[in-house]
Amino acid sequence: MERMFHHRLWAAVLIAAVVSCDGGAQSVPRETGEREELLPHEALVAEYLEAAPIPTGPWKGIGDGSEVRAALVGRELELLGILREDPSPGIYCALGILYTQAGEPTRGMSFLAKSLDLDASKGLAWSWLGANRLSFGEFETAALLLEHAVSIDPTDALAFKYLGIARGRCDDVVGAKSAFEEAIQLDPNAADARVELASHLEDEGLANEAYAHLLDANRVRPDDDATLFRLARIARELGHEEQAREFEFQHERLRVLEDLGYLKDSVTNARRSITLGIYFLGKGRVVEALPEFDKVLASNPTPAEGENAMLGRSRCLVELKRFEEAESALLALREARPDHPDLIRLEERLAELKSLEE
Amino acid sequence: MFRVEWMELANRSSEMRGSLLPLCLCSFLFTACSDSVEPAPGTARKGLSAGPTEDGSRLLVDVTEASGIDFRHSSGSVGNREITETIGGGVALFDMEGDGDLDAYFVQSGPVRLPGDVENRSGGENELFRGRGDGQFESVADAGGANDSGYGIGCAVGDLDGDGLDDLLVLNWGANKLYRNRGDGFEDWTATSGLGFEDRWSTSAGFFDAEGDGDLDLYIVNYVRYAPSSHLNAQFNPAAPKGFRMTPTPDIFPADPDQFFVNDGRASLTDETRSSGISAALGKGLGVVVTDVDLDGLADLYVANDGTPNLLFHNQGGNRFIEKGQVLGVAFNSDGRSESGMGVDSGDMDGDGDLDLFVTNFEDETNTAYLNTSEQRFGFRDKTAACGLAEACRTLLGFGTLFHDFDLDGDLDLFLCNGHIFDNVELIHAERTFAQPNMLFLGDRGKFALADKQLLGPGVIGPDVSRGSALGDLNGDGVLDLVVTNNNSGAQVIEVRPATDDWARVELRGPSANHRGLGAIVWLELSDGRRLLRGVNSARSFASASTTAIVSGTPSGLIAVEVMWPGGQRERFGPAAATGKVWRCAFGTGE
Repeated sequence: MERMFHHRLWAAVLIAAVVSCDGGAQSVPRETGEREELLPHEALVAEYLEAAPIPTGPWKGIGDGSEVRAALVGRELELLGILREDPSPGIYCALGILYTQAGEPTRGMSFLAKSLDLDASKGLAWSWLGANRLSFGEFETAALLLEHAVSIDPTDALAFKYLGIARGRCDDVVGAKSAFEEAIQLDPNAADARVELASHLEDEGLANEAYAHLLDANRVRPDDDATLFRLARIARELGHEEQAREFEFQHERLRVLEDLGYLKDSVTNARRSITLGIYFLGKGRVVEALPEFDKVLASNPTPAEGENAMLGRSRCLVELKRFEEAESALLALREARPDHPDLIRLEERLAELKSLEE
Repeated sequence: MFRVEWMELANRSSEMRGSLLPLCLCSFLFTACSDSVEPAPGTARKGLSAGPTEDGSRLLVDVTEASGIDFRHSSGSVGNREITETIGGGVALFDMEGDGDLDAYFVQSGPVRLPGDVENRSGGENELFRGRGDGQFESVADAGGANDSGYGIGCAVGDLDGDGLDDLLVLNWGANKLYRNRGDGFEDWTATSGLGFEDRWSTSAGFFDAEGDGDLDLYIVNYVRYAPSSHLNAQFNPAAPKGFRMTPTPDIFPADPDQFFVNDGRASLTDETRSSGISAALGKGLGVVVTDVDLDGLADLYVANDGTPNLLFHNQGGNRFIEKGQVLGVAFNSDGRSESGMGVDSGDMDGDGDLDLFVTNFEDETNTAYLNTSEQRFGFRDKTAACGLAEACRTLLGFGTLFHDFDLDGDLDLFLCNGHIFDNVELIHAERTFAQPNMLFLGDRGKFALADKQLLGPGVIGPDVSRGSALGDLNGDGVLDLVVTNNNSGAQVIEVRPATDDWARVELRGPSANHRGLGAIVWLELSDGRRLLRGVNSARSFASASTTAIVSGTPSGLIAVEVMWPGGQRERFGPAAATGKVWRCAFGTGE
């Protein structure tokens, strides 16, 4: 989820750049007669335009939920506003990229195709249309569009990365590797391309080469948990046990941070504390869980919140072997909810731990 | 559609069983095995027609109406959006009477119990449909005694007492129910068996022979602790727009530990969750598949967990398991992330001679294909994208899933049940829907492509909110058909009509009480040198139980069948085991 939001933020930044450099481009209407002699990539644009006309109005899905999405909807509305005044290919392209990144590829395709219909000379729109088709699983089509994109702009590292992915899905491993290498040469910080290339190298048994690319990717993007996970696995295969453990530790740390970030951003007050408490309990972090349940009970909870917090608190006390407090908490829970299905289990667990202590 | 009185059915059944008994005794009791048939090549299909098809080339055809199966699942929703409501339910295809025809058992959910509402549990009974063997079914009154009215999620079948008839386990949100199959009806065996009446939230289960002693043990997958008291947690979904209630995700509920019961051979179950090592790992489980990832003859268990790492219990023998999900690379996806595992199946996806794993997940996660890399080093790699299974499913939420050679070309294909858990998902995503299309991917040695729409008859792929799915020969033509359950909607019966006649069917007669050979591994040896690997398993998909008969395309002809029985003993069967297309391989009769 976090990664997706990063993509979206990044897309917003990119869109701003596209708009600023291309916002004033003049529309270049295509002659109707040209359609009969279209090249394959041009024919695709015509097909998309016909299949999916430009939708009217904003996409309501973008605006719900987190602040990141709210930022995106702000950008969407701004771009739609500009589009009404100045329907230029750059604005269509920017909206196409935004929708593609926001998980709305059908809408994204319409805008990208419209942009290219107005001005087919922009490599960026071709490359994003290729990326857009990737998300539909149309790999051969995506490869065709991306090859055209890099022929227009051979310095577009992102297009080469997507081209590598498309070729890889078409079983063109040599072509895929070549595209990723080109992307890396153009942009040594192209971490995604390095990770993708590493995956192919690993498949070929070239674990050392794969490991080197992953290390580079990790240097560029040290907080990417997916790279760390892969690094840990290959390090272990190569016999670098100590490094493997370190990468595993870092990976786990990032995962926990992300989980907690999600939980903290998601719910509020008593319910957030219950959620966090249960999360900590699930991870065996009982000491951290207990204060969360205490917070709930001190905050004038609703009956349901109170029951959940009492249950969580009882579980913590049992596991912490604070037997007297645990017994008292279970007694209170029994008075509140004598039929609670977890009550018997907790009482059994308490008895078990007590007997072990004795 | 009419209901058959149970006594009438019992009488008919006992007549049938009586006449078959001598034959059974002298021919390895195949009548007790799943769904024995012997179709003659080239004979007319016995199946029902769903009406004229446009060109007669459909691979899958919806025959629900003609089949007489009119089961309709009820979630019991009254608008509270409980987490329980959009999960169930499952289906079991098994030969309840031992007459050779598959019957269909459907699990009903029904009203959700609220605090103080424990007694009010009217309706919501599970239903049984007796198969006639020709594709038509009749509703059986009171489900033959297995009409449990708990809040049902799934079911599993296995012959616990070794009498040759499959018994039935019903998995509930609440206490589970175990029914002993008498052949003429079911009796509640829950207390007698030692299963107990604990309030749990069970979703899927698998009967399997854990230690190779010939009787069936039991693994039960449990989901989260969701007591009626946490009913108000239904408002907790953090994704919900302000002022709207959405079904909660499982994040805020603690995991409910899975259970492992050992059978003493007389249907008496002992809870050995702790001593077996199963309790060493915890997850929010929805699906389980019994498999054998290292082909050592000891059945392993792979559990799909929702939001927590998937678990692979590697069987050490002697009822001991070690959880190796992370070590073997099947706990997370290739990015090291826990996904929202729902349904699961195991099969040799890429035809390289080992068993791979496939898990369905939440939208935007892709489903995940873990390919077994035993040819290099024992373990798995997430190869979803390379298999062609990533992008096409990314916007869908998967549940039940089944590997099967639907088009009978010798390669495993893949069926996916889809459907969201948020009935108002459009509030947070404009183009996502609650009802979603199911999918059939046709396999070609590790590459999967969506089946051409022309192969799928009207209504076959929904859209609906599909959950469970089970395979079984419903119409007696020998090939396996499909039943799909839909949440809060009618079940679907789908007839499979492959275009080729080059196929074979393998039925096992296992050692002692494991009469269907659950957990066995089968190699089909073709004349072109290919060896098709298949697992014999009932517990797969989600919350459901399939037949154990193996049906596969044999393009170059089948020359022999090798079986590795639970425990590791191997036998090879030549053409003498075949009658027409059906190879009957009984323990102790091979080479």
